[in-house]
Amino acid sequence: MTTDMTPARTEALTWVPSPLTRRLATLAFSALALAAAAANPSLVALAAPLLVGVAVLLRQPRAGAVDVHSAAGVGRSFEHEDVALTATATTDCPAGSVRLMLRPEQEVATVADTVGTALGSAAQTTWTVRPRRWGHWLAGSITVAVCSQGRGWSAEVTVPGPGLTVFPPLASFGPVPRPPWLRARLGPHVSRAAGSGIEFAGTRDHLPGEPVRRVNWRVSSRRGRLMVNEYAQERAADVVVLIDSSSDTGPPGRTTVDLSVRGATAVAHGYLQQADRVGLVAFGSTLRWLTPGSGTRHLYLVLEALLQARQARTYVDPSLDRIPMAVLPHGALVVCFSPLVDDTILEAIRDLRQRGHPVVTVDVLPAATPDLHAVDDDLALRIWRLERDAVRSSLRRLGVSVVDNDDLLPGSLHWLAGTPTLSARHS
Amino acid sequence: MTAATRLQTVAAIAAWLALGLGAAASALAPWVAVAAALLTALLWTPWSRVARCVPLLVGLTCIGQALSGVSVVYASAMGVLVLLHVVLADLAADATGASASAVGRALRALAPAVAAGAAAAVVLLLGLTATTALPDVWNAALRLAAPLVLLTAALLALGLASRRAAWSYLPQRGALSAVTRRYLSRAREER
Repeated sequence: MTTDMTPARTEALTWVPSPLTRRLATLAFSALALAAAAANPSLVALAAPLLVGVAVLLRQPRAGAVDVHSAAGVGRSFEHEDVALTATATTDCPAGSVRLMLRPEQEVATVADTVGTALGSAAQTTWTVRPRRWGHWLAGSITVAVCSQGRGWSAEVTVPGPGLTVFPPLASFGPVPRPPWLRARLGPHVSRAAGSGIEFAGTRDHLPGEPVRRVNWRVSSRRGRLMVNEYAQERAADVVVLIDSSSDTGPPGRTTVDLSVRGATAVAHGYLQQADRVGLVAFGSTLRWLTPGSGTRHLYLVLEALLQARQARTYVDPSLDRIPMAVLPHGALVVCFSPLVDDTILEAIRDLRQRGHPVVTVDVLPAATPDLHAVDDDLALRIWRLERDAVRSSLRRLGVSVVDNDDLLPGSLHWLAGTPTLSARHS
Repeated sequence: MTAATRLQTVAAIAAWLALGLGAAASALAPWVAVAAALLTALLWTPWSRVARCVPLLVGLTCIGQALSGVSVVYASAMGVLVLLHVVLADLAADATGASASAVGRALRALAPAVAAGAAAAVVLLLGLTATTALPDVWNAALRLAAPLVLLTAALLALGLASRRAAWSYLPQRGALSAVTRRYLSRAREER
């Protein structure tokens, strides 16, 4: 568990009369005004203790500054996962009370009460927040309200809260489909070819020079000649996830970039869990890439790179020619998430097919969005749908499997297994 | 019973005593005091925003009672009780979950204000008692001078409270600011 610590901030306090002072003054001056109007000395007698009380309260010492420190329990979290935030405020001289209030950002929901009060010069509060969307967010702003020692004065300062790094959710997975082309490298996939794996493949005659350790004595005694065990070759797959964030449409939390990032996370997590190598190419904003790698550390590198998808817009034309060869190993399965509205990504998909990569494209633009239903011109809508069908057909003719966004099942990769690209066995 | 609940109870008792004194001595209908006393039950609720309005309500009711005719002695006692009630209710609203020692420290900081209020009530009572014994001529003069004295005292108190030295004493002769002194010395040299 890591802790995202923010440095302590020292904020100068600007004092104003506290609610207690204002309340007492209101009562006292009301009584005095009525006393003057009605020529009633009893009201002066009632107001006198209140006025003197206010004067004494205002004479109490006040702090000059307050130190505010806030920290998130974990620096990295996932969507809809509870995160503890701790805030501490300390004044530089004795105070009456210190109150800490959290005003969460729109993308962050609070789980419990957001106010913490302590009598004295220091207060510490822990809040539980739940991020709603992946990305880099501020937890909110923290307001510190300080009362002077006699509670006659009050001051308020607001500081930004700690930052949160929120990853898309990692769902649990069933079987992960095997890519059509496998690399001749030690991995989790058992090949039909004989090799140096641990999976038993059969027996054959012993050849001179082969180690005796491999001799299958039971079969040898039955056959009357030396027989050795044969093992299947173990291979690994290379998968490259390509996401297109050139356009971002849809309701908050369900935009095309949101769907792309969640889908890409599912694919990367699924293949990395079974020790395959996963790379990343982020298209659309600045062109980013990540060389295929394996392991938990690499998973977090992929997630960090995916978080950049919504940031850093650029007008530089992205092109696959700029990507190093190592990022797109020969025969690597490419899973592309795109709304298919930009010609650049269509060109990139054609380029990938021409290089010989098996490509699966997920169309993340929903076919039946509320915005489309609102379009009055039916003819325009029909033409738009025909154009999209034409784009999909042209991709299918190139041998690209196109998957609808509606077919994506959260928590599994069955949708990937059902595509023609992965159904056909090549090795 | 937590420290905050104890504070709320003492604040409510102070309010009831103040309202009771007013109901006993004023011409206002007693049900007004009873209604205000019933509303002090809001002090124990978790709705702090509503609870913070209770002291104002109690204070205004007491002012209404004093306006309808209460002796100065009763009004002074009501003033001290209202002061105690307002201060304790404000502290109780912030004392939820606080330890008894923290509440004790906060009360020690508030004690001078309440004590000064009580002392002011006693001094005012003694002053009023003394002035009633004065001849009519003196009383007439006092009636004219009293507003001026009170105004000056209020200004002095405000000046002391806001730590603005200029309010608490009149500028002495020749006490010029640094800017004015520099300007005058330059003008003298040029001349």
